[in-house]
Amino acid sequence: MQQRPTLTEIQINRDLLRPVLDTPMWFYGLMAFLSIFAASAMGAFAWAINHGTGVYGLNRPVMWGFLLVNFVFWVGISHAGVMLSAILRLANAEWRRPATRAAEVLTVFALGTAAMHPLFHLGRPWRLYWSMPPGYDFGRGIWPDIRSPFVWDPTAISTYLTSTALFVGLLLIPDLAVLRDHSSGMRQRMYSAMSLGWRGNTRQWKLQIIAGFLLSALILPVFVSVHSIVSWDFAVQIAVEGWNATIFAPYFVIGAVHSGVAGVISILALLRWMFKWENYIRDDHFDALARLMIVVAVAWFYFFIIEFMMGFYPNEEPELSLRTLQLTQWPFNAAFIIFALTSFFIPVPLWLFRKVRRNVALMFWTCVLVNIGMWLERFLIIIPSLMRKQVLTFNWGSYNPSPIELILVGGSFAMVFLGVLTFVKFFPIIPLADAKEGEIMATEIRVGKVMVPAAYREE
Amino acid sequence: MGLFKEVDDAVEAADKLKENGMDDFEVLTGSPYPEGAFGEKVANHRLYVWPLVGAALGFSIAILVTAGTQLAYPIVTGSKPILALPPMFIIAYEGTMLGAILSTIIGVIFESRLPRAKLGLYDPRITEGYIGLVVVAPDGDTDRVDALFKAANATDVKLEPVGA
Amino acid sequence: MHNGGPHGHHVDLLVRTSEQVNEEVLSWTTRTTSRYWLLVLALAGVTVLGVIGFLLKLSDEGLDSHMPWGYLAAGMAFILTTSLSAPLIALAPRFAKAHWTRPISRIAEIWSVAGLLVLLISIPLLVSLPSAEGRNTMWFYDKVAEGWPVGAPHLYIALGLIFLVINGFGLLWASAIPDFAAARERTTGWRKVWYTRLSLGWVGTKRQWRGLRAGLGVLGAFYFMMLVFAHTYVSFDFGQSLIPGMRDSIMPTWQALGGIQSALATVIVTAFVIRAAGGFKDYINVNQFWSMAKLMLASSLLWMYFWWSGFIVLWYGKTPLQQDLLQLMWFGPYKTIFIMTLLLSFAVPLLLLMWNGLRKSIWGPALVSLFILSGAFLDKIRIYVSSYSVENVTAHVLETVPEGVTPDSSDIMMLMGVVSGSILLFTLAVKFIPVISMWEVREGMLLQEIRPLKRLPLKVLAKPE
Repeated sequence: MQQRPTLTEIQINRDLLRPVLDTPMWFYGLMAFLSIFAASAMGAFAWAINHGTGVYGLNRPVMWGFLLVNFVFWVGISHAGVMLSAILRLANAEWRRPATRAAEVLTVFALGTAAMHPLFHLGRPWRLYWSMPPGYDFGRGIWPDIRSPFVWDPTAISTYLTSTALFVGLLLIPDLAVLRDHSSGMRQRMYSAMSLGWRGNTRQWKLQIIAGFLLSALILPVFVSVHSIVSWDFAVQIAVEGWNATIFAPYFVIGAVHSGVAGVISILALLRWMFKWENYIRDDHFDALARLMIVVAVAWFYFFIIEFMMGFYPNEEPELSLRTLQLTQWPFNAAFIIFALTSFFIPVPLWLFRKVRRNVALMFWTCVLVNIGMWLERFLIIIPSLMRKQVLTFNWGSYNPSPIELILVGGSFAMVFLGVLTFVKFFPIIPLADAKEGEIMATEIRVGKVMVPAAYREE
Repeated sequence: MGLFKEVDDAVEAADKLKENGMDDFEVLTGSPYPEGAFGEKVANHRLYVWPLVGAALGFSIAILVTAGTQLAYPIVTGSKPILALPPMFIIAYEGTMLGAILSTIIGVIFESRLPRAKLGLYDPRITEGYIGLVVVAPDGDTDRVDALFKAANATDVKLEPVGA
Repeated sequence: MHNGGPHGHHVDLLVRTSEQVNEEVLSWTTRTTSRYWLLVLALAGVTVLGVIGFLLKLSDEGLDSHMPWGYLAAGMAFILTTSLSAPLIALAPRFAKAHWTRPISRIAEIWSVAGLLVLLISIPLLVSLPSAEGRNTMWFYDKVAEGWPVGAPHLYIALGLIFLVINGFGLLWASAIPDFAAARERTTGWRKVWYTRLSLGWVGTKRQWRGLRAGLGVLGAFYFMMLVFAHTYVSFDFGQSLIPGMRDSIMPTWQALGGIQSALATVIVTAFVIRAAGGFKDYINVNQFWSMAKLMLASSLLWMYFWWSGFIVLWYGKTPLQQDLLQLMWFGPYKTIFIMTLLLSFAVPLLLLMWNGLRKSIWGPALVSLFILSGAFLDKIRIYVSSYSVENVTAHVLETVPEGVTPDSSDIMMLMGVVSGSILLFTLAVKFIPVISMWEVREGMLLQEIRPLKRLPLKVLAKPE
């Protein structure tokens, strides 16, 4: 069971470059299918621009609805990239190899999609430039107020997006060189230009490895800050019950890691099935990822319990009315139960069993459940709190998501998957260099009569 | 350049190069071998300077932007001071990290001696697992190097004038 | 053993036979020197001083009010965050199957003996702690039903601490069973009697090993949960819920994280001392310090992050209550202590540990650990002395920001006694419990070797499933 197949460089090139160099027809069909939903989302956005934000189901005091829930959700998913890529790289975990680029690419497209949501939300999105320093000054005669978390947000998100995109690009260079050497014509010229003349000498490889470590260490603090800043959009506000809690920052970050890693596991399962990559995305990888998920889920649950308990701690009527709404009134009570079951109580006990951890289908579906639960978590944080925003009950409102919002939310999933698939079409989603390095470093140690899998470790 | 299909042949050839006083050779591989696996020289670099410089630059720009915009229109919002340090710190933090990361990436590309217009002595089979050993023949004696490579079972030997 | 490659690559790997490992570790365990007894005497002396300080305070102030006992509460919290958190350094890497933790895991686990001191100190603290009636606590006393849950918070704090300490002892004992078995064959007299009893007839069958691993896994997981829970209720009941109107949800997790940081610092300092005093330079080498230094850097950054998350929410809101809390906790009477904590727990560790050369040394992480331990000490004083200084605990909100409480001579004696008492317990324990986990080190020798990858000697690490 601890045996793994030995793969040559030629085999690795052939298998992992198949989606790029020899794309199957069903792939294009899938992209076309997803494009329909993505286009619908763009159409819904165009409708909202044309008819105004009244087409959303928002109304006082619920001025943030599904779009903001979705925004926070996708920012959360984007945290998978750094979690898997950076932390596991720094920890020298061998099992990170197939997951790193998939996680980073998911990050880029999830974050890009998330960044579109404030745009959807703006009444006059063509005036977005007013929110940036020069535009604001020339257009409105004043600079953006840097004291506001709504200015911290774009700073953090653009930093994270830029950093991760460039990180992916930099570590892609050796693989682009492989594509350069295996393609012809226009494609060869394109990959040749993008690989910047990579030759693969010791210096270049050494710097690639150092870059991996150094950038991981630099991006990690950014990763922590991004979702913390998103959480402070809510937490610094004193007017809304349930939001003014000091724990929001790490709670959101750990929740993001929870949903993000679950998202990556789902993507890895899909990639394994689509391209028959059983030799590269092995059962061991799912086993290790599931054990990581247990740790993350338990940590997340602790934060959730503290946050939830602190809602009752001050024993004050406004917050108690919010919690009553969350726990006892439809549809929030149902959402709460589904959230609790899907984000923790179903998946985590299942993951304790080795058979489940090594079953790709079960891992896929439990991770889908986690993401359903985590979407509902953000829903339960944002909407009931706004519904009970004011102490005076005549100001209590309600919210019904409109069809436009539903199309935008559904379309956002299509946009992210479409982005990832587009990447898969042009670039290898499993790093070739990592896979080859794994083969070089893999070895065995004899202990008695047993050969135990081992790895060389460079200090 | 000698091109070798088997890693051990390349290692042997590298040993022979060193025995013959040619220890300044370049190893081209399609996958990252640990540095020194072929007995080659350690590559020195100054990559660590780049993130520090970038961080300092990013921090300075962020402080300038945040302090400057607050002072340009000194309006008290939410009873916070005109120069509100905590938000300035948050944006300065992001600026510092962005500066460090951008300059690290530029630094890696620069220190890798990229971009390179021409590949020079190279073979596409390197990305299929072949190992390339590139060396400058002493006194232009390419025949000696050619013989050395062939004796070590090189699949192919490519020659190019220095400076090409 | 050092294996230098062509580029000066240093590959540190312990090369011993099993018998040599047993001999070296057990001979240090069973041998006491005059220097050792001098140390014990000195520590005992300071501990007795602490007891005297406690008795003086008790006769002056009694236990009717909690207010005079802030410094003792800070001392207890400090031991919880350092000694009782130290076993985490054995558990977590064991869960991750890391090899570097093998020589130091027992050092980490032995620190759980300081739990006895925590239990002792908690008695007067619990007696003096005000009832939960009329104020907010994490036990929601009187909120769900009158008088329910019974005994809150005192009963649950006591039970929590007792279970934590028992768990810690259980973990220590379980992990030492194979070493006790090795020791019973190589000692005589009272040692042999006790090693035989404590080894429970261990002979090392496959079933026993499987049971041991499963047991360590379960006990480890429980210890982790109990410890996080302990940080939660200690920071709530002796801290937050004594300040009316305070509602800081991140405080318990921040304290738990501080525990991880302090645990690393505690183990590093102890490993530094044991390595030098015990002649274990081949066992505890730069790898252990490097790995822990990396984690310590991460935890220092996280420490700052957690503090900042709490601060920014309070600062931004600017309500009168939030401003009073900021004054009480950070920017009022305890401002100097807070600034020093910020420097010692965050700034200095970051500025020093960001350099790889310093991280990858033995003295570097040890020096930084001393800073961190000092910072943790001051931080506990800040938190618990400030919370204990509030008089009217049943008010709806904090009415005034109380003046800072400076320590009197009894407080200083008690603090010194608490610290020296925990070190004394550790010092006594290491002369009975083998300070290096012999079975884990022997296992590590089976699963690690040095092998050349072409022309480069590298370490090979096995990870059996």
